[in-house]
Amino acid sequence: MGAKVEEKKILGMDQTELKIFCKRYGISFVMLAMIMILSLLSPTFRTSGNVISILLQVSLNGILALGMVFVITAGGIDLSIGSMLALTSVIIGVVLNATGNILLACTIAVITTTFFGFVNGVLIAKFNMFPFVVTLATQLVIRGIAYIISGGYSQSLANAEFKQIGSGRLFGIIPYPVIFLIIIAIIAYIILHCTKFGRYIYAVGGNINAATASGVNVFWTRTGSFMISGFCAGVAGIIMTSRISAAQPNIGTGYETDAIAACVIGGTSFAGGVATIPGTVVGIIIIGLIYNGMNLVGINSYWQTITKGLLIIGAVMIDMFMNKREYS
Amino acid sequence: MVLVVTMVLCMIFSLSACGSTTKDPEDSGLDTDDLSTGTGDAAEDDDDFVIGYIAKNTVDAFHATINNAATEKLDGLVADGTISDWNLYDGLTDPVTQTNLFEDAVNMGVDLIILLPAESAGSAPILERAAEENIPVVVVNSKTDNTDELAAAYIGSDDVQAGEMMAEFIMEQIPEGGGYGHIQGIIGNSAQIQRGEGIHNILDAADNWTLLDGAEQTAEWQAEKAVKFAEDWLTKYGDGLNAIICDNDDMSSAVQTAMNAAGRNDIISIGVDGNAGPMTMVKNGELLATIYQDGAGQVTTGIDVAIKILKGEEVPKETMIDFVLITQENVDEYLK
Repeated sequence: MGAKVEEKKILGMDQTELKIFCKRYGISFVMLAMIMILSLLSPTFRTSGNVISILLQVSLNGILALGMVFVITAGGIDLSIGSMLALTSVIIGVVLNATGNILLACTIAVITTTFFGFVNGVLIAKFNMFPFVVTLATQLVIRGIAYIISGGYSQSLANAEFKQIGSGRLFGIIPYPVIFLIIIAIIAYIILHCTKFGRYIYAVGGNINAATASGVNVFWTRTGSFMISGFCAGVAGIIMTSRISAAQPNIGTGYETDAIAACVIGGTSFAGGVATIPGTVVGIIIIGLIYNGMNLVGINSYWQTITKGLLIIGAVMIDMFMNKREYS
Repeated sequence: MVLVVTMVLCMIFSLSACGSTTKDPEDSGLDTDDLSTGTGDAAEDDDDFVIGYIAKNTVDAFHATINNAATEKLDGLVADGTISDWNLYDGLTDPVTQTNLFEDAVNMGVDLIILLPAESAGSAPILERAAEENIPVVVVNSKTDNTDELAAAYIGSDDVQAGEMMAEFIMEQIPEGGGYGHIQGIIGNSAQIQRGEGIHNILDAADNWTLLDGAEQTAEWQAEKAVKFAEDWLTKYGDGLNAIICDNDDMSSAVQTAMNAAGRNDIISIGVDGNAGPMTMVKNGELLATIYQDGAGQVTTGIDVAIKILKGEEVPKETMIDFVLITQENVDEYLK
């Protein structure tokens, strides 16, 4: 047997290594294939301006997805982030117009969304309620609060400095939202892959009973995952508000879908316990490529929606197939 | 096994391709003009115009009508060589998406943008970015907060007029007065603000009409949400409810259907837009009237203005297209 396997070395790897390699990086090839196809189809796609545009476009969804990946890995789901964007927006509007202090406005907004993440976490971890139901309900509560704070009206923000957060560019090239995305991706990588808390997230998502038995603090691990998601929603909300330079209670609807999609495409398993930050980043970029690429090639937006749906199904199938093969 | 082989093939293919494609952006970034003319589209020659059309969305009936009229007209202009190309971008009723789409359009090298704003405040930064990029923007249908200062031209209708027409129609039909409810569009949209203003201009001054308590709510342009409000008000106010004014007629027609089904066809519901469904109901006598907004007229006029701008001609800063009251008498003229 051993000899037979050895004969089949491909690219210097035997089959087991190859399998692990594919499992880990399979989705990256989908991304590379997309980049290749789009480069052939559209001359505009290859321009450096467009590459920056794609990064700018994915930055919002990317930050949301990097928060969401913690929740899903710990066995949950967070549907409330879309409403949190709206809440962030109106809080910034109120505080900024009252005080003119950008740092204060952003801090209050992020603390509020992190707090609602904490509320989600407590309801789920302490009372053992289903994450889907809890966050389905809290998204209504949070959006309602956004409407109450704003009185239902949107408000222009005439603050040039605040506008720089979303529209400014470092050295006139790299938009600040992209920098935020990169920083958050690095922090997320460190937390999930290099800390004890990260390992607890995997443990709780993989097998909650085993995690409890091994002395993992399940309550704080699950609650922490929702707080991370709330925090990320707050940061994304700041960028979103700045980019449209308006405080609007009705924005952010449906943004949770793209964030969840990016996680799933990036190999995050809904069964919990399986995810990588690099995978999620690839998922984020793939979603961005779908929108940007199809717009450049001139494909009808109805088809963009269908493509996104099919890609999610494809990603989940790959995920299941590869996992099965590993055990067989 | 098959999987492994396919994966490997796929991998080698994409890796080798990746090697060459990743180099491309740097090379091509400098001489895009040569490249793009070589492939035959999106060139930036002086008389080779490309128009970017950022739609509000592609799912509302009213906007589908506008987009179809625009598609027909712009395809015609491409065919007769007036413009070289155009592209429709779907804004998904989201200002952030529209802002992103603007960047895509810039990268595609458009010479002019036709914008149907998703939000009056939220879509405003697009015009600021366009000013930075020196790309003229023709705003169609509803204004952004900075349209007056930054847009090359605006083509729309005076929504205050529509609101006033709805209120006047109600007063004319029920001279003795009564109680009414108002179902709003998405809060913050200029159509919502101005139609509401028109309604209040007339009915606040009328002594015999009162806005029922709690009967001014937003259904975000959506028919099924509007029906829920209308049914709740019917339960709450019964005979005290005489009219329901809606900010669009997808909502008013659905509300009227629900009221008719509840045996209350004396309640008059009226809205704005002139979509096919409500117009057919007017024709069949199920809906008394609707206010027709000539969306196709707005966008085709907008495209005419856009072409003039591209050719360097003078254009009026603002063009208003009139609303029309549609009843059974004139519905056939407008229902296509």
